[in-house]
Amino acid sequence: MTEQGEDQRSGARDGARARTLRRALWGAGAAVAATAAMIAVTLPNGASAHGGPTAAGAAASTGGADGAGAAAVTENAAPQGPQTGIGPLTEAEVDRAKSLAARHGTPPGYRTAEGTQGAEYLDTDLVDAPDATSGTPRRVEVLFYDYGHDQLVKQTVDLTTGTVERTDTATGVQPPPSNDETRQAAALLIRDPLGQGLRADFAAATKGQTLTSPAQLRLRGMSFNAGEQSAPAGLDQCGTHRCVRLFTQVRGGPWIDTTDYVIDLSDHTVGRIH
Amino acid sequence: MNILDARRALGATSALLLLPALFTGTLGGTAAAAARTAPAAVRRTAPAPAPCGTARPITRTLPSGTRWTMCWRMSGTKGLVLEKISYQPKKEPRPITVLASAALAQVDVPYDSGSVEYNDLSDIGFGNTAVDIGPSECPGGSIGSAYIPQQGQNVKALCVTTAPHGYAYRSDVTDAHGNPKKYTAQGSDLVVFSVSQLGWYEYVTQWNFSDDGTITAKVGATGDLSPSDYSGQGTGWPIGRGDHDRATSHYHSVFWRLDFDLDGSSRAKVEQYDTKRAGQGSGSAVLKTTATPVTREVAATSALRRWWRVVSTAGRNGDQHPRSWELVQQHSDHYDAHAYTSKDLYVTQYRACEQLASGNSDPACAGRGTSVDRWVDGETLSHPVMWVNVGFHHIPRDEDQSPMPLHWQGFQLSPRDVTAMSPLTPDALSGDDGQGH
Ligand SMILES: [Cu+2]
Repeated sequence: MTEQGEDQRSGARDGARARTLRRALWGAGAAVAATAAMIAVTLPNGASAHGGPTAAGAAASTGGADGAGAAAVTENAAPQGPQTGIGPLTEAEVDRAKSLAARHGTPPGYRTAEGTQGAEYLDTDLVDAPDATSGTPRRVEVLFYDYGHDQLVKQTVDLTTGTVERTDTATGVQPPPSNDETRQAAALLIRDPLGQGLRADFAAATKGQTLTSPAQLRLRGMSFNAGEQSAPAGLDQCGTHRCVRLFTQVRGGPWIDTTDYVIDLSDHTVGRIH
Repeated sequence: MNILDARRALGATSALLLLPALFTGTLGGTAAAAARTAPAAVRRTAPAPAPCGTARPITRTLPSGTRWTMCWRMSGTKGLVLEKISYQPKKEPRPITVLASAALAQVDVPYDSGSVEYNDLSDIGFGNTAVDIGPSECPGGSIGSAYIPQQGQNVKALCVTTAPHGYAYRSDVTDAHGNPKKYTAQGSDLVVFSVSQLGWYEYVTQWNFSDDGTITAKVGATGDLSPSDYSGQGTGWPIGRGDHDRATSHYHSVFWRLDFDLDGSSRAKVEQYDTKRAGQGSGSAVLKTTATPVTREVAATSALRRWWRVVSTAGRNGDQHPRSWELVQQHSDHYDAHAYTSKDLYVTQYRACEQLASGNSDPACAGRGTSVDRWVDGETLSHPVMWVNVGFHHIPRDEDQSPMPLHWQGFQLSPRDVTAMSPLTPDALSGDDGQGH
């Protein structure tokens, strides 16, 4: 921390470049610590820390555990196939809802983020149904974004009858970006003049590699809506437009702070909060 | 926050081995088979119905005999959603339904420097960011997986386990024959949680269902302080050596949405209680408590000796008192820079499209505004939904450096007249209803 503090003081003279570099360095320290913690958890049986198969009793120890962790742990697979009632959506249900919505089609003026005819798929969720019983047919909401009219489109799908019950649209509301949108936002930032700091930090963190693709980064997208929070004048279109901020990490490496940058997917521009 | 702090010891599970909770449902896996040999398992003859349909319910009978049952799923934005929550004390013939749905409704994190704000549910999503829970994080428990559409994969997103919570009660008495007798028991909780990773912050969304009927909702933040938010005097606290790295102070305003289903009916009544000084008696001050029915939508502020309860229109306890659930608030600093975070409690008429306390993006609600404060417009409450706001102003400290110790915020729902006596009352004293005073 001490050296990094020194960096920040020089950053005051050297502008944003030094500041982002300092953040990357700070993040590097954090990433190392997290890796060490994972090793401590998983060494006993060599299982992967993230989603690997686990046997009962695999929890042999956390760092400094007293043996209580040896209590048997059971695992239950995600539900599969068609369902009734109100449990988790299955992969098959999500796929079916998406294809029913797609088959229903969209008006000709609808556009995806890439500008092709159609609507950009965002998410699928179960309809809130307080009166649902164990036999209630599954009704699902499929969310799309129509870049042609900058509007959110919700199709309510009955999975039992295979019909789209209703379609609702609204402007000015911006749910979380899909992974595709997040990648597109990162691609825009990488190419943009404002991406210079990101490219430089990436090179510094990877011993000189060139950042050309979002695939080189671990990304988490956030929607940004000036209607919901403060935003500088240059970003006041966000909310009407679909805008995305990014948490960015070098794959297997440090964080690079990009949360200042706002990528407008509706008009393909990049702006800054500060 | 005392109660919450007392329950922080999620990992202190050694007592689990001594007091194995019975796995009565299918979310028990192999442990359920072992538990079937326990004598208490025969107490209820009829198998529990399948309240969730094809999916596995979460259901456990705690050592004292209280059974909690609920359905669960993961929503991309809201994260863990618990539905059809029911409570069945030892001597109740049927489960008592409590909530149709209980879930987070927003986690808003603005930084004091005025530079940045994160709407963690509506902009990112707690289900979208749900991570695998490893066996060491869920000792003695069951880990449940669910498909997360945005991630395009199954995530081991749910831990269901049990944890001791210390004294249930203690009482030294003298029996009818003049012999001293001590009644005491230890309580336990069904614990249900998921974990979401939002950048460097990680959040635990947890619900504890106690054997005495208390429901505790809490969110814990851990992971790392933001590596990029440093600021000046007054908006940050020096972290690490010297006084030049001031980690920026910030807020976590957490909202929960509670859709009640008391005794199988959504037509609950809401009451506000206030206790005021009403003169001086000969021995102490006189305090008078009054009830105010909340019949229309309301945006409410906490006050000294003020509390709310949701009262069943469909069920009474053995004393013929209407069953109710009391909102028990712990300390909260509401964030006064947004309208919607400025109040501690909202009660609105149910609408399916109103799910998030801010940034509510459902197009079916277009034109109604996107935050809960906008929905309070005097509508009559026939199906009340409660929105509980708990704010925590986080001024970082040296101890919060990586990994940051969990800081919790939450509230409780406690049963008020749901049963004629506590479900934990020992059998020898259960005939004392109405005799004890
Ligand atoms: Cu914090």
